[in-house]
Amino acid sequence: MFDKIKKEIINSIDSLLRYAVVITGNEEDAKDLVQETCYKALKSINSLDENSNVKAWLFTIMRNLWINQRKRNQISPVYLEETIENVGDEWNINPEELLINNEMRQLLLKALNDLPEAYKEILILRYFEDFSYNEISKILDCPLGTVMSRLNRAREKLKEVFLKIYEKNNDDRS
Amino acid sequence: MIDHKTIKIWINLYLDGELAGEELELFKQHIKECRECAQILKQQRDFVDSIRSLKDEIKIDFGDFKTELIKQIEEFKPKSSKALKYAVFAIVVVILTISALSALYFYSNRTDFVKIAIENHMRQIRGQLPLEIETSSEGEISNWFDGKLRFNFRLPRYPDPSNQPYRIKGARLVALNNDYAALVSYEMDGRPMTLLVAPSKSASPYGKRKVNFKDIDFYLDTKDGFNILSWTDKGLTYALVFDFENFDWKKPCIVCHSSGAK
Repeated sequence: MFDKIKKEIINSIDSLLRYAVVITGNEEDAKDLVQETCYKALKSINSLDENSNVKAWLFTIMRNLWINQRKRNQISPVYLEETIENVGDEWNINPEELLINNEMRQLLLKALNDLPEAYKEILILRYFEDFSYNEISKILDCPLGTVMSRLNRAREKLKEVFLKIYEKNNDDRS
Repeated sequence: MIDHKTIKIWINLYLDGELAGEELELFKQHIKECRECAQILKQQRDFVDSIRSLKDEIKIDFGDFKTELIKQIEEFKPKSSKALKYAVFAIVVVILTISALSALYFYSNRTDFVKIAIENHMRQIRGQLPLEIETSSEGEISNWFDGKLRFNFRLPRYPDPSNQPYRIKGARLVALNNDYAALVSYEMDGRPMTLLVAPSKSASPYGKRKVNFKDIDFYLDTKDGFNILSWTDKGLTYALVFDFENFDWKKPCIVCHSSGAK
């Protein structure tokens, strides 16, 4: 079982690195965090059984490590309950274009990177790593309802930020 | 009929694979019938897919780092957990403690009985332990002990005790482990000899030499100038203390086995 879990840890490295870059904001911190996560996971491998969700477990370890690191560095928490302009109904961007237009996709990536950390984090967990709401609630240690509402706000915020970047980009051109 | 507001909430749950059961069926039915909601669903699906597509846009070269990390993971050897180590340590300590206490109890129990037998013998010959019944009759002694002890003890009777080389002098009760043991006083070849009898659960035979005779282990020892022969038979432990000059371990057996023949 030990070798099987080791293999799953190795297979999760890319996902962990992607998530680590998002939550730390830079490559070096991301590497340190992933390395520490893997080491901690290997040391506590005995706490797992065969049916454990290793990937979700790794993400939980990494997030907790990051939270503790932030506490040590006295980085103040990010407050999320901000007002979000509801852009859903006035979203005049053709999403199909987002998919095929490389330039627009780069703007969307910029918008994603500009999002508050908690929104960025939940979008990554859901759409990059395909975690279910239940798994996300365990990783983030928050109720299922919070996952649903935060994810909803994160999508809306992404649209809002993207729209601003897109419009500014168009203004700069003209 | 489901209102559009609910359907808009359900769209995200549906796209995230979190809509199930009756709600899922109602949602599908509504989307079939409502062009407006179907259009919103399509737009939202494209938007979500465009977020998903960003996964491949994050291109950071972690090549060397990944190779080194994979190597470290593959080479990692599991150590037994601290909890397991503590548990094993605790079990070892408990086993050792129990063994030590058992050994101590067993050893002290064995030596104590022999030691008490010698002490009683010495006090008896010094006159500090007077006999409570003075008789040479095995029957009278057996009857005297009857009801006084928590165990059944009777001396063997022989047809003509006067022909035996020993003489019974009498008996008394002595204290042993908060209970009474039986002490019988003999004389053989003009030398005193005492027999101490106690239940085997509270007294064990002990001696440096062990001789097996008729499936019984006899322990022989010499202490403070006295010879001690001890053994256990049928739930009782016996200790015979004597000081014959020419020690023959079979000689005291005569007191129970009549001329040593039985």
